[in-house]
Amino acid sequence: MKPATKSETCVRATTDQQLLDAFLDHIPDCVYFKDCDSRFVRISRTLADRFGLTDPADAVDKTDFNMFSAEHAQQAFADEQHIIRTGQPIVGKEERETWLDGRDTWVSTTKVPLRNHSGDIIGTMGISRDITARRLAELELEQYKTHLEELVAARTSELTGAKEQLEQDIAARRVAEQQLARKAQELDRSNRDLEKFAHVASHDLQEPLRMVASYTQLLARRYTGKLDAEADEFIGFAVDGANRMKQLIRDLLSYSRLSANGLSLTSADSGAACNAAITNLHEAIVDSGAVVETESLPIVLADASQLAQLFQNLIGNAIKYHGDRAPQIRVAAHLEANDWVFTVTDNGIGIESQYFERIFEMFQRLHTRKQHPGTGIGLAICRNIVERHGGKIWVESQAGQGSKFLFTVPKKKGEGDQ
Amino acid sequence: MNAGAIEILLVEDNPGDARLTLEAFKEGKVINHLTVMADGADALAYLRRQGQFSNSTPPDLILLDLNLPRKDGREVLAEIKSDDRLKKIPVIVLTTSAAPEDVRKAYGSHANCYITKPVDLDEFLRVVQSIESFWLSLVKLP
Repeated sequence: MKPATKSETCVRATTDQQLLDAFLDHIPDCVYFKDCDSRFVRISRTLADRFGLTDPADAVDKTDFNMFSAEHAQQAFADEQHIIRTGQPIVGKEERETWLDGRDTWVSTTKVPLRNHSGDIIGTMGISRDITARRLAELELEQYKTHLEELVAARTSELTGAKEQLEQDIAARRVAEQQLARKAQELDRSNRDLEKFAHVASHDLQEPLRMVASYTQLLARRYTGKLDAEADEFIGFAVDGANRMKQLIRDLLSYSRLSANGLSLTSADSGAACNAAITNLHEAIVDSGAVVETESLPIVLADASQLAQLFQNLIGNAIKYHGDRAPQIRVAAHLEANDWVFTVTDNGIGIESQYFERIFEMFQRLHTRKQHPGTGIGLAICRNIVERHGGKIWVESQAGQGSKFLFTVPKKKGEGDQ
Repeated sequence: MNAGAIEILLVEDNPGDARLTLEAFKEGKVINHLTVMADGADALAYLRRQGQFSNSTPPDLILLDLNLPRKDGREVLAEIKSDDRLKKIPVIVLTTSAAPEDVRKAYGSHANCYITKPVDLDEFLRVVQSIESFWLSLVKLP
């Protein structure tokens, strides 16, 4: 387009008609004039384009009913009739237009009354700006917002649920902890009571038992063979019962003494403790013809007298539960990780694997009194001693193949560390 | 009372124990006579020939239990050993207690020896035999 001359560019020189034409041809909004029946009188080119008309003049005498859905056309018609009746304009009304083909567009509409020179209303004129893009964006935003709110609501309810669950869990745990603490206290008291009971019972039982045992023994000593065979038998049972009771009380007393006396940990020579045990077992060793071999044993942090008792019970058992051959017993120790592992190995009758746990329980016995007398306390004492020292005790064995008792004593701090 | 018999005072409140000791001495070889006092107060009255015991025979040897009614064996021991007329009589503490505290205190009060009663009859008999062979035949009593 060639540049306009000065006279042509002077807007003051143009007529109103020219201005109106230019306005309607170029303004990118929908501008329209309608008569009192809402028939188009004149429309802007933009609106003609929207209507799909080549010439804006083709819209003359047409109405919204020719372009839009009845619903929208009805609404626009009602608005315009209202303006004509009342003279009240409609400003910036955002409305949805549904086209005959079903399409939806959005416009922001301002409509005012069209008056003649004498001020009478002869129609309406209006301008509608297409805001579909903005409206869609808004709708999208709205959807996002709704979705986001839903997400937040869902998350919030999840969190609330989780929080409530957590609070319930915490409350439940607190209750459980209190119960546990109470149980531990009860257990502690009950254990102490039991220990006291065991000690007092076994101690106070000694006196009357000494009487029973001594006098049945005196009976046996003075009257065996002097009454009759039945009397001898009765006396024999009485003496035997008293002896067993004596052993039981002695074992119970030594078990309860473990906890009553506490643990005095020193650097103890386990070899010396083992030798003390062997000395105490001298008679049994001689009687059974047992051979007890001791490898070099370490210095450990332990209660020496309890360690000696532990060896005595284990070696004593190895002698007691011997097979046809004379007992061969070997005591050894080796370092394994943080523990000294002691082993007492014999060639005795062995133990079936199903009893490996049970033998360490209090009063659990595998043999009849006739086969092997015992109180079922010896290994319980062993386990008590080992566990009080922070170790564990177990057995490896096969019936008829001898047994190997193993127990650990934690290595002294710094020992064996390079 | 047998002339020349060794006179023993047994202070023991349990009749069963007293009888057992008596029976044990019966099996012994040395002729002896055993008098039993069942509480500490009676034992001291007997030794001091007080009241009903004015005619008592002074013992050559005292066997003393520690846990006694009225007057404890520990007090009886202390009183004997602080009494000039009685302190020369050997006192053998014969008790069920093996408490180190009792042993220490007994020797502290000048007990002549301290023996824990064995539970087993055979061992008890051996103990009494030892007392007999040592205190009644080996040593020279005042």
